[in-house]
Amino acid sequence: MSQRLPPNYERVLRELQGEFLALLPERVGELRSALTLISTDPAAREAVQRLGHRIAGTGATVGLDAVGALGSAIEHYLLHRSQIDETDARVLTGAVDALDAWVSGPRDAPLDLDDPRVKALRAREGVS
Amino acid sequence: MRACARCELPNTYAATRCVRCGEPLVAELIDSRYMVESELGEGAMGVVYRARDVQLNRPVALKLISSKLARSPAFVERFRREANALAAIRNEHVVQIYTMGMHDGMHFYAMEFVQGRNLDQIVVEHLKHGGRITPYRALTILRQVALGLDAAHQRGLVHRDVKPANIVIEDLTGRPVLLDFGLARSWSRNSKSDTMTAGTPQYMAPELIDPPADEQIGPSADVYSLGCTAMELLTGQPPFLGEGIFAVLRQHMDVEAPLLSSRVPELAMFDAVIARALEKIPSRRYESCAAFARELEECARRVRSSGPLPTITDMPGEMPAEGRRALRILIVDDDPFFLSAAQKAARVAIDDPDLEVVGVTSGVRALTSAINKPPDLVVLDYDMPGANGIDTLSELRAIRRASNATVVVVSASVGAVERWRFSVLGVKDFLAKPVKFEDLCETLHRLAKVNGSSLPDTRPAPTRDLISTPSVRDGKLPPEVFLMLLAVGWADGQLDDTERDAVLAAAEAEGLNPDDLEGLRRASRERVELDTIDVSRLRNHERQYVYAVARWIAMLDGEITEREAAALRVLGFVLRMTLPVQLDIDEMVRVAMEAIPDRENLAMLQALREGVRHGLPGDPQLSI
Repeated sequence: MSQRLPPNYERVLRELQGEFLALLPERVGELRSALTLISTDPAAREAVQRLGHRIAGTGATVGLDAVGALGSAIEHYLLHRSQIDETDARVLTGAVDALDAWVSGPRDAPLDLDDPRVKALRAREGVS
Repeated sequence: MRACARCELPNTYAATRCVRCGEPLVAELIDSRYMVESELGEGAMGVVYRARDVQLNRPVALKLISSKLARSPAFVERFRREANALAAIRNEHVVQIYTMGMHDGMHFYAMEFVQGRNLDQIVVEHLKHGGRITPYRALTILRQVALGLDAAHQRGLVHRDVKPANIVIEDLTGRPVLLDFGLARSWSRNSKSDTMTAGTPQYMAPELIDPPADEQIGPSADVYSLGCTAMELLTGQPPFLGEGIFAVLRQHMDVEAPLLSSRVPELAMFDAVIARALEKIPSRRYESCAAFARELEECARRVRSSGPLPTITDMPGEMPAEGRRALRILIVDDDPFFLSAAQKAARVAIDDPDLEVVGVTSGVRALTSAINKPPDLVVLDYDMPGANGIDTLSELRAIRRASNATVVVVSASVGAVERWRFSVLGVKDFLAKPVKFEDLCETLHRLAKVNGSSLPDTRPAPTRDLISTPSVRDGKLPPEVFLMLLAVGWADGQLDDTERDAVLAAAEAEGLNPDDLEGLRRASRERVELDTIDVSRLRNHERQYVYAVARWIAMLDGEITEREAAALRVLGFVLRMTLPVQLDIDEMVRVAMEAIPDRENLAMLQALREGVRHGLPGDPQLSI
């Protein structure tokens, strides 16, 4: 931590993490809902991309780098694709499942980016 | 005059290193005050250096006139006369001259150093990326420059070299500033001015190219050059192009200027406005740059009404006084969680209970907020639905009271492309998302300090002469000093209008920059009681503040009352207790005496000297 930041810095960061984690199930729910229509509805695709973008932005801000990386992977997966098919929807849903499992669990370790469902997403991130 | 031992370049500018080869040189201050740091540019009139004013610890641009020109008494006289006229201009869009003088036989003047990029560079970058400056932003800049030119004209100066390269967009605030009055000439309606041919071919008015024998060159030459600049900002190119200077000059003389719409069809609605500025006959152009500015403002209003943001009514005319207030931060991000995190970061970074932090989720809300509560610092997202960060900042820069806010862009998209698009708007910093909370805190802390917030400084007290300490916020007087100044200046109560004007005039004469002046102006409306001053915050300030305070007190009404002397004594006490510097009371009094033109109050000044010498009753520390 920077020497110039006051002592309450750590406490505020922990509070923010708590708020982010409390909000995450709602975001996961929104992701699941949008994913059901992603291959047919452009608005749903945009919603998934935006949610991924937000998770990417705020996850790392509050010190949850792995969660941020997963959000970023979701966003970039969609950025690189003109069409979304059923396979894409399945891969994205798998990654969201992994996020959901971590959020619902004890969270005694960071989100595992080596989880096969996350790896599948990241492996296909740049493949169109 | 020394020369570099390695490359033999004459060191006429008192640099500490040779500006050509970097060889260390013996340090020499220009006018006992300015330390040259680097060369900014060289022109026909002389060389401009970036230098540091070691007394106020702030950067300045220092212009030294070439020795060849300095040999002409007529030139020197004109230089002095016109530098004086320029120094009298008070407009935020005209570079401010602080002082002029002679050093080692060379004439020089020191002026405001504007950190930023000029419009020529910005236009080139836009063209390189296949874009143009947005019409709204271009029109806003042109209007502001027109107002700056009008201020110069009111003082009898015609710039004669208005062009994009002479207009800098300040990084910190987005403020356009007109530079380089090197070719400027005095002008009056009743006398014929110097008609020497000068300027830059692409922007030269016909009357500058072929000066008429029986007519003077007046402000309309600047109207024409600003019209050429407008054409370039709006379309990417000045009106006339050609192979060789004479081909261009001939077109200025003989060829009707092209319409904007011939290059950019969607700008047809502004054809007549720019065409009038580009009339060949001066009397057919706008009668003044103020008139041109009004037309440009109307154009901007029309663009605004067709842009991505709904029209929001800015407050017209004079703004209501807000009084002294704490730092205000506006955070704009469409992600509510990031908004919340950034608001908390601001509160962590800036330990001030009075800090105001406003968070909004769209550009429209940002503008509404900025109009009602002008921010000092804006944290702006780029990728937002509706109006993005560039649209939002374009509008923000046109809001009178909010236009000079410091801006940091925090976005996932802050690559080279975004940076050049933002360059014309003035952005102090870019942070790439995802951004660590800690980095966000540190950035806000740093930028708040740039804004002169009353941040507690947690660093250890300095142990050396503070005049050379760079921590004094680039020469800005912090709010606590304003308070102390004012407390001392009217220890008997609130300043009346005459006293306030005297303080502000003295501060301007001191070369205080516009931000500080504004702070002083706000503070001057408040009553300050000596016992409410938090003296613990004064430890990082320089002893020259004491001298400045003494001088300003003396200038208020030409005398120093006993209460004022007592208050000054308190200030001296505080600084002595908190600064490891020696106060030279004799010098302080001498400076104060010099500030009183008729020196009628010698007795009072003697009393001051005695008062300070004796210090506070019962405190042996104060015997000086």
